[in-house]
Amino acid sequence: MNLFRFALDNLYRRPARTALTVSAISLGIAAVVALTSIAWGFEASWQKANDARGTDLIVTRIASENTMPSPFVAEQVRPALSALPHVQQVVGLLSEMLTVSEDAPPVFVFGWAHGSYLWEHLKLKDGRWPADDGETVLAIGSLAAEMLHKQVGDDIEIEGRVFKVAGIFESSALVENGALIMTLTQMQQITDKPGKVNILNIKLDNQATDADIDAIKAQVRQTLPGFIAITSGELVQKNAVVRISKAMSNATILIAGLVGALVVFNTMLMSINERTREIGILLALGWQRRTVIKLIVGESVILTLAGGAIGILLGIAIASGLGHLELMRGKIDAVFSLPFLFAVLGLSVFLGICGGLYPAIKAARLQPSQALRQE
Amino acid sequence: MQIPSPSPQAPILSTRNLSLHFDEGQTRALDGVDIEIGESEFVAITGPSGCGKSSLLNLIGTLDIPTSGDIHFRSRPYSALGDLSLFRRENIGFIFQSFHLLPTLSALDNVLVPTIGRPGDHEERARALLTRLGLSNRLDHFPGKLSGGERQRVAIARALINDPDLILADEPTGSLDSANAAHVLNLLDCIRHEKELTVIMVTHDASVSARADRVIKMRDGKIDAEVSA
Repeated sequence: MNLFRFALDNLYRRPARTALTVSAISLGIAAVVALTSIAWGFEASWQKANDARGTDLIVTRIASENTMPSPFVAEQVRPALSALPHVQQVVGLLSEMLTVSEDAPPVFVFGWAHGSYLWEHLKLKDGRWPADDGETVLAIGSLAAEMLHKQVGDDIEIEGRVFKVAGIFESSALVENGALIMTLTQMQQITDKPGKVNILNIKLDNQATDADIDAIKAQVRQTLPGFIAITSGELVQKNAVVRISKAMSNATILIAGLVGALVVFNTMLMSINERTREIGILLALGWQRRTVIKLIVGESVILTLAGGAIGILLGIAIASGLGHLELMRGKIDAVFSLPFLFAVLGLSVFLGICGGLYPAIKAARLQPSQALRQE
Repeated sequence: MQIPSPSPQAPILSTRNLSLHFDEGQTRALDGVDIEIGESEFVAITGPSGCGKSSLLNLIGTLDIPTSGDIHFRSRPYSALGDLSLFRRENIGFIFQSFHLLPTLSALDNVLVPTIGRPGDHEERARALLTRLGLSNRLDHFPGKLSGGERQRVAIARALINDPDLILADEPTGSLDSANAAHVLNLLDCIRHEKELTVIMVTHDASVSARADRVIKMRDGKIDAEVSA
């Protein structure tokens, strides 16, 4: 017989309340895990897409914080960028989320400069790439092909113009697998943004060092007012959707933490009110007040740890399940980080301590003779 | 923190002008009680309901705090003992009228409850105590499956598990029929002699107080009379 077994026994003998408390905590923890892993997945997916393209620097408008930066005329800045040291290629990219089928959710449509290095990381599974800027064809990601039920040779109507599927490709980035890619010229035409791009991708030569990258960033800031050169990671950090999803996950952590602590607090307070005489017996039998505190806090930590563990599994299931929903496919690729999951377990323990401490101190302060008289 | 006896002649426990008042002095549960209890003595405290018997036991057992007066255990005042719960655990065993066993624990686990948080393996000792009290075949039984007499024997084993020198028993046979009461008292008597325990027992039962070395009669929170056997 030890304190842990005694605490477990106390929880076991009130199965309904224990189950309800664990359920409430696990739901809160599940929300934390699901939202955070989705937010991180969203960030990681964009990061992966940018990294896979081999882009070293991205030039965009300073004020751009939308999902895709606001468009600008590429030729305003391209000549200046091309003249910078170590710059090999400056490639425009225009992107929008568009509805291409009534039966499927909106998808990302990218316009990439024909023949640029951006196409090189994609693996063609079927068909071919667009032959030139004037051809009204596109390539679709394997996931988009599945979602839109399209094959090579099929037609896709976008913004009133019909495109033929020339090829189906595979990318290491989920966001590209669920996207449609056409030449930049075609994309500018259908979105009515001639000559405009969201970003300019810069590929540097192999000799460029970190110091060179910093120097280019500084030069862009000095010579191109209103523009900024950043790495793909910095661009993702500026992304409004990434920032909103992170803010939501932080808010969920706060709310779930508060609700979790209150649920445990309420449960433990009710429990010790019902067990006043029992606690009186323990004190009469010579239990030290700190042992009573350990027991009550121990019980609440067991509750929150169980809730935390179940919540983590539930959160993983929810985030993974959401990624398979038709509406979310190709947009969510939740990332489950082991240190984060351990941190969530740590949060559970913290909630148990916070929620159990006051009831524990209240129990330990009972006068044994009065507690023994309690019915 | 087991407190040794300073000398065989010294009392194990003494109270001086012990009082316990409630409602700002309107209710006087104890009013200036002076008693001395010798080592290995069996003292019965009797008196009508509400005379202060249980209040006196609670104060001796450190379950309550006196309004005024002193209690000394082997010449040491309670006020100098520091952690009273530790003192209680090491020196005093309680036996209650309504047993106060934990219903979800087996007989063996109930006996082990006072040892939780105390270093060492106490299970063998708990088994031996229950066997000594005739409960070797009831170790895994829950209180709900035990008779009144068996429950009180479990409570006695629990009171003895930390090897105290002083047993405080509040109407230990009050919930038992006469046969079970006699059996429990016989066992308690045997163990008291074996271990040279001091027993202070509150009782209404004249047949129980007849077994005591000394009977302290109380009335209205005061000592009314003391009768030695």
